[in-house]
Amino acid sequence: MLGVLSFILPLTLWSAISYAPFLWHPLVEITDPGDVSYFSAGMRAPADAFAEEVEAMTAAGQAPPRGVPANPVYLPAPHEVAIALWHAATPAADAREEFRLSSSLWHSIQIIFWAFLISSAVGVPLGILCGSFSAVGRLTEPFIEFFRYLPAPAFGALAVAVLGIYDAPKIAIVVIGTFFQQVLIIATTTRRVEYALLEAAQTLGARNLKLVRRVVVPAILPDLYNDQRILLGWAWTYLIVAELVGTSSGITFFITQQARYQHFENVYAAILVLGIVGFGSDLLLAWLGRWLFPWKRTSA
Amino acid sequence: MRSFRKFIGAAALALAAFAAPASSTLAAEPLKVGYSDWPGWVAWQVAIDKGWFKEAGVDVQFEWFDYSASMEAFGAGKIDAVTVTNGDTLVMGSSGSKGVMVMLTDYSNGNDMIIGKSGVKKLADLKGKKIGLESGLVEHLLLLNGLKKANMKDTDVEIVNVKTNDTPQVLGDAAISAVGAWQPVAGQAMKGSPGARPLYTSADQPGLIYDVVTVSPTSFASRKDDWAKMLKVWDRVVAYIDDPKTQPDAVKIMAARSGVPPEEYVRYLKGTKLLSAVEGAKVFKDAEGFGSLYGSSRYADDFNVKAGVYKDAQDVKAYIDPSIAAK
Amino acid sequence: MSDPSAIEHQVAARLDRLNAREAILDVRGLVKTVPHGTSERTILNNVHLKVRRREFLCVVGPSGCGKSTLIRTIAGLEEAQGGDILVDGKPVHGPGPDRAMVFQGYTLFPWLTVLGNVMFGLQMANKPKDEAAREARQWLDLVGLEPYADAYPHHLSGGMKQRVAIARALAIQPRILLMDEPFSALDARTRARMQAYLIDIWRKIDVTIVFITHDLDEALLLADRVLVLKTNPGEVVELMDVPALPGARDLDSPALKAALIRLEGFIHAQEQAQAAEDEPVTPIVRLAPIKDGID
Repeated sequence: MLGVLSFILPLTLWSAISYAPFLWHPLVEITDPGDVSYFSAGMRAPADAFAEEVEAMTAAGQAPPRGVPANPVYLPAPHEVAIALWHAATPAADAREEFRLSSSLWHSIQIIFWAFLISSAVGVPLGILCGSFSAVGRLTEPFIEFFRYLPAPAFGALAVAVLGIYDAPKIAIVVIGTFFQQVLIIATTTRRVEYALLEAAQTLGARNLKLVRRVVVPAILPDLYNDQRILLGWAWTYLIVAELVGTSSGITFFITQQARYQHFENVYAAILVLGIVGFGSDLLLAWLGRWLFPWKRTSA
Repeated sequence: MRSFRKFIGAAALALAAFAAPASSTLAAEPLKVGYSDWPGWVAWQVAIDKGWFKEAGVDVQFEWFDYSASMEAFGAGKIDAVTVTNGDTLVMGSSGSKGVMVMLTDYSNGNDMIIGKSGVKKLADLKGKKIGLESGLVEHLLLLNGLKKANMKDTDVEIVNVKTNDTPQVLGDAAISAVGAWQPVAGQAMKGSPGARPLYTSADQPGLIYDVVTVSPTSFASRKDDWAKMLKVWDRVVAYIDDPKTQPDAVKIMAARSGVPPEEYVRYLKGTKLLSAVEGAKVFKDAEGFGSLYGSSRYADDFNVKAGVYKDAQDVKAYIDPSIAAK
Repeated sequence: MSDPSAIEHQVAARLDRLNAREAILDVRGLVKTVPHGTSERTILNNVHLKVRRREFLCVVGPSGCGKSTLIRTIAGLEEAQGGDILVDGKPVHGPGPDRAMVFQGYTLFPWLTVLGNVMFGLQMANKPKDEAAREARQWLDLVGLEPYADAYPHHLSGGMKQRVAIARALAIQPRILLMDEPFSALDARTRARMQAYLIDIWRKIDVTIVFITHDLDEALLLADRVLVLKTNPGEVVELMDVPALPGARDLDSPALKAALIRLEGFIHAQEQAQAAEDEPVTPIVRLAPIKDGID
């Protein structure tokens, strides 16, 4: 119930700011420029400048401009975004591939999928080894600690030079952004394994890699799963910088291109869809987690 | 377990597939050209969509980039050519990514502008004021050119370095008197600030900013005939866009590439003077002044050194190859 | 109740039999220190101990006397700084399947079923899965939990969990079963039941038990002999024979009552010595209760 409310509250706030003319609305959208030479219909002027012009024109006996209170173009109203969403869901038959929200999004999802897969294929085992064997941890972690502070986007040009202009450098950026955090987070999770379980396993004859495989991995699996969920969200945040590298594609191109031409209702539609996809997949994974790890009742 | 292995196998395969196109360009491969969102370059879309390259017997593959990403890709040797301004060709070259300008697409004819706030009527009014623009880029060049004409010194104004995309908001700041921006951002800046007007635009100095196709020297040396065919296709594109009968169709194609309604796109097209092959040939004659690509580029070189974009003056002649364009 | 002197004889005879056997566990001059600031603190000092085959030894002592450290060092979970630990005459380094351990906190693997937990040690010894499962079921049967084979540990009560832990430890057929206060987390009734279970199991199979407890009654109920450790550093004070036969014992019998008083004497002396050491300067406020004789 509160969960639903947590969505309704911001939506109400957004609607209030958009539809109640006395809330915010710092601008006036001009419907009739009157005799003001530099006004034109559709232009958004600051409220005080508009008021001055009305006064000046009235005093001079000329036609005053008319207009309605408006918000900056950067904050479209909910219904505008809803219409944009509808258009995005039902693109015109001749729309270019890049301007179909669905295909941009699909492209981005593929980038994330491969990047996360590659990062995890190396990062998860390495993280577990770092957490299990202090020698491995001491050998790799200082460098990883250092590297994770380097901004992944800074490697964009290098990634293009090595991997070409298509999807590979984008995947590489997401991998760089995700991998180092992943190793550290998973190493930390691995170190949190209940020590008594390891001792019990050792007294039962488990050693080294067998101990890792049969005790450490299953013991951390629910936490590991949750870590991966968080890291996947992390990967999404890197997508936005990754997609600026190489040829333009994906949801970032859609957003930046629409923002460049000031079509903010489309920008917000894309942001909303991103949010829905991210939140939805997270909910799905959380549900899947509860099903996968019935013995871990705390896994949420 | 087995399905997991299959998974990894698929991942490796996909990686290999991604990596494959990155290998060097062979003679049999299509010419790769990076282009970005500027009317003079989006114009190529007409030829792409209509299949004119094939008709001209040349295999060209256009890749759509963000402007700076396109220069990065060219610098990394991943594309054979890139559409840039003449000034930026020098900038790329100064950092080791040499390219030669082999043909023109257009010059900015009003799409770049310095916009003054309400009450600022001319550049001279900006004395001692703050101007928001992206330092070292074309708007900076445009401003200095305008100041010179207005008998002002560079130091008469204070430059505030802001991203071009942020200029509409920056213009609303009380401390800022003017901004430099290109379309469509410039239009938005004026819309949001009543009384704001262009003080100086690229139309006031035609030829200040030329837009060109810059080709890697090796590709140009080995495949000159193909690049010459590109120029022929371009001439066809310019004719198609300039002809009032076919212009609406051209605008529709271009607008779709940029993702805006055609009626909105016409505005941006007006601020760009597309150059036919004949017009381009004149610009490719070495002369002083903005009527020549050489003169314009020397001016840009001067600016780049002065603005600290790079340290040593570049040999402009080494960046221009008139062998196909000047014919 | 039978004649006390007859029981005395039987007990003496049993202990003689035990003593005649080879020591299955031989702890020789064990020294265990831990870093303490810049210097080191001695936890165990020169501990000697022989445990015979099928003996049930309880270790008692005031808290901090190093009982736990002793059993963990025997288990190989901690390294000794001096001395030797021999099992069947062979020195031990690190944990091994000849010494299984039952911990106070159950330490069952939550992702495995009850059966899976008991199978764990068998599978570590590379036994085929079906064979391991068959054996594990027998051990579960021994602790009366066969019907719960497919349940997960979090569905079990504390007593049941500890029975699974015992089955899991016994399944690898260790020479010695080390138990570190295994019943101290259980309520009194369950504990009493578990004590009876343990004695019952111990009498059925060939296993030697070293059992740590802080409960003197428990030690007297279970053990053949009770080892008393003193604290700071941990040293052996006494190895006391328990004057009763294995099985149902009566703590109210005169012999066990006397034994309890002896044990309490050792522990009490220890605690007083410890208290005096902890507070070399007795605060004035503490004097009053002592005068009143309340303390």
